[in-house]
Amino acid sequence: MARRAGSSALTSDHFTPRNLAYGTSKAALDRVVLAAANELGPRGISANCIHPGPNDTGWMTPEIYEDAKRKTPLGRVGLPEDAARLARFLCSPAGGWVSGQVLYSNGAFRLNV
Amino acid sequence: MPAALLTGVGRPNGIAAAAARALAADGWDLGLHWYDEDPSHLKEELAVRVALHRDDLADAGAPARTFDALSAELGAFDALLLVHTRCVAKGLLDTTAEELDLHFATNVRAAMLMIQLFAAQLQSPEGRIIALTSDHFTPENLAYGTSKAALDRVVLAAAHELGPRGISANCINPGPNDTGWMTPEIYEDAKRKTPLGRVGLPEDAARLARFLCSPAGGWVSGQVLYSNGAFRLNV
Repeated sequence: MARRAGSSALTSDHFTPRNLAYGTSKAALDRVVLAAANELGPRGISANCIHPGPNDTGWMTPEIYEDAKRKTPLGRVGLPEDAARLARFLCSPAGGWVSGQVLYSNGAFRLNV
Repeated sequence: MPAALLTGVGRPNGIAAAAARALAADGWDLGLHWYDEDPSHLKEELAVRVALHRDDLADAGAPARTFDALSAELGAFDALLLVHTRCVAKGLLDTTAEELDLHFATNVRAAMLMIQLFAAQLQSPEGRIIALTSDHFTPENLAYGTSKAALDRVVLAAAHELGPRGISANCINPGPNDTGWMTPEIYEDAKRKTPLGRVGLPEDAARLARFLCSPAGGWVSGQVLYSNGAFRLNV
């Protein structure tokens, strides 16, 4: 029986205004994880990135919070648990076939609204 | 219990039948639309309430007839899974106007109408829309590939316009999926291009649909999600 391991990384929008080193390094991280999905797949390892969208982990100003809420069709701001539930699915036996993806768990948030 | 309406439930080893089984495992009652193959065996197989309706979704009146017939038995639906599809493979130069229109009527117009009807009848504070999609580059399969691209935009519009009603909407792209249509050559080629080392099964797509329909899946919306073992076309 093959062993299955899941690996996932948290990523972010590549266009992150006034945040060059962070945005560019997250773009590169995505490629590392994509390489892992392709090169380590034969060992039974799945690899994905989770993109949580704007997530209320304590860093938001009131302006950023209201702007994120307005741009999210599901009508609230993402919470750490929203990303965590997707990570839990990916790590479960049911999530093993999802691999090589950048998965957005963001309430249908759009930057350009 | 919550109820889901699935379209295009046909062959027992198809994605829609697998999704029906997966949702039944979470206690969902099931309204099943079908056209080609009678899935009434699921009624005996599954321990939830199952209603059936046969219709041709190329007909503009079929979505309303389908909702009327199935909700008469099960009441309002909380999830809509669009799995039906028309797929008659022809290249760019061989695709007729009639065939293109039939693909768009079935794969796009029916999906839009089903989503409209779903939103109008929803009674829960949350709803789920899932459509099965496909790679848009589908060689020698122009009408199918273009209509699936258009379907994605319908579902993306649903995510944005219906989000304020608590409805999430996503597409699932299952990658090459062994539902009985593959030649040995296609099977081996798909396996070679899939890093996880096998060919996708209907249950692989169904497990993602089950997650999206569960309370845990509600924040994922407006996405085209690939459940394909890291399959890549260009390997």
